[in-house]
Amino acid sequence: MKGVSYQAGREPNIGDEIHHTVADIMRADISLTREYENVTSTKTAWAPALCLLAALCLSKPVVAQEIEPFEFVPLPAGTNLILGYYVFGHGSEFHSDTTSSPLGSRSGSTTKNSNIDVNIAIARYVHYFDVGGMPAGVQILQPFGNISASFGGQSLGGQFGAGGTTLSAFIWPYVNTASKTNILLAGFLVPPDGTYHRSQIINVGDNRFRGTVEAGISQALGDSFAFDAAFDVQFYGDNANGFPGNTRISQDPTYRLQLWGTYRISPTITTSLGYEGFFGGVQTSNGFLNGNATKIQRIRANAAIFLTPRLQTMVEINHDLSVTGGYKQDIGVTGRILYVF
Amino acid sequence: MKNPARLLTGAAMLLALAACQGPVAQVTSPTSSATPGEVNFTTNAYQIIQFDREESKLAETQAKDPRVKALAAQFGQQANDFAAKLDPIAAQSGIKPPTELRNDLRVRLGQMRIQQGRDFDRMWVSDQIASHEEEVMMQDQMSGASVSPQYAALIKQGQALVKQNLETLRGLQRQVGTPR
Repeated sequence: MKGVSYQAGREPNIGDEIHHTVADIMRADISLTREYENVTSTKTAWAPALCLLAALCLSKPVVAQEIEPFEFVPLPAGTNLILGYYVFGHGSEFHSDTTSSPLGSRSGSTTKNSNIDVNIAIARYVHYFDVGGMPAGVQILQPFGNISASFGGQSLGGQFGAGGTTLSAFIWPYVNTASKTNILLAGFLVPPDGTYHRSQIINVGDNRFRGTVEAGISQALGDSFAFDAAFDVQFYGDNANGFPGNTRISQDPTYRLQLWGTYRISPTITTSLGYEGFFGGVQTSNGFLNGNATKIQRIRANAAIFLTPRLQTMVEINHDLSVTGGYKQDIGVTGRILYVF
Repeated sequence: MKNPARLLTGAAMLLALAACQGPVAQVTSPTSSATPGEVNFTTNAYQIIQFDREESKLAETQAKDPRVKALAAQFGQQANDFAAKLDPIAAQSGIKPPTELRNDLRVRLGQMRIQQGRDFDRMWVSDQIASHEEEVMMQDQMSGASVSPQYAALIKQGQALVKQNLETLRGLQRQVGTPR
């Protein structure tokens, strides 16, 4: 449950007629002008000379609700966690979406030689308490870092800055120690307080409110196995200042399913395999479909070790199997340090 | 656009602070005759009582060894019995027991919640040995403290029980082993 978002601004060398908005670190939401949509709809190869980028928004809002194994196990009231993340991602292709289908489209085009590199750190604080006898908690996350991208061989530049601050509260309405089942409900709010300049093509913030509701379950299976699952829906406010400053970028809700299967090697070491699927998130610029969406099928692998009872380190490697409406992530790496107090 | 974020951040932090509870016993009345030794004993005793209750509850479903399950149930009952004796004495002295586990016990309990089976058994026994050793040390420290006769009697009652439990736990640890 961590969070980050990016907003791209202006690339003067590319131009002003095509709007590209990228959402998610490895999933770009590219807003295209009608001229660009005409190009893709007629199966014409993407031509940088004809397609001029006007705005690029890079974000990973879903990282805020991205779960790691055992995150749905309630900790005792009064417990605090400090977590530090490093998130790296690299992608080399962009897959546009030209339909409003929530499951993706085969009619979108693939743009080779479109790279994205993300280096983001996230600071996160979590506090647990009880509400009416139910475990609960609040948390705050602050991402910051650098992102750079290119599209069809054209550099879009890069920027270092802060992402939107993520505020969240969560509660476990159902905890059954006998069946080893925990069910969690969580809410997230990301105000548009990240770094954003309407005159720049790449921004770390995305200049819009985002809110998410999430439900999750953890289930221990026997002595050594555990299963986590989460479903969330993310809602987006409009960005009324999309590049070059007068474009209203709107986005449909993004739906996401996450699964983790975990094997405990020892009391302190776990390994996990996971799946993450994003659906929906179709985006428009001034009311027109712009090719951006959040349609991703991702696999994940995770290993974690408690170095001491208070200190845990974790690393995750992930890869996008398919993407529609964004950059396809060749490889993503997340490192995490967790301290309990 | 900064202000909404700051307001929301502030609200979240206030909520977190409001939710905080104390791990230390409090004297509820300015006219209370409670001594520092009584407050200290109430704090430490409650911490162990609550910790034993929580770990016993976990052992019901997460332990594998029937001996661990049985001993955990026994300790849970002992914790309840001791609390039933401590509560009225503390109330009489104007002492309000803590409402939250202290930091190190929360961390240990958090670790226990993600353990299952044999690993849980070993960790539970190890944890209980640590908490009982702490109880012995606490009671030894209390021997010279200024406390009321009721507190003194309660401390004395607990001493023999804790030492007996400690021997049982050490014997069980020789059979189930130490945490990996």
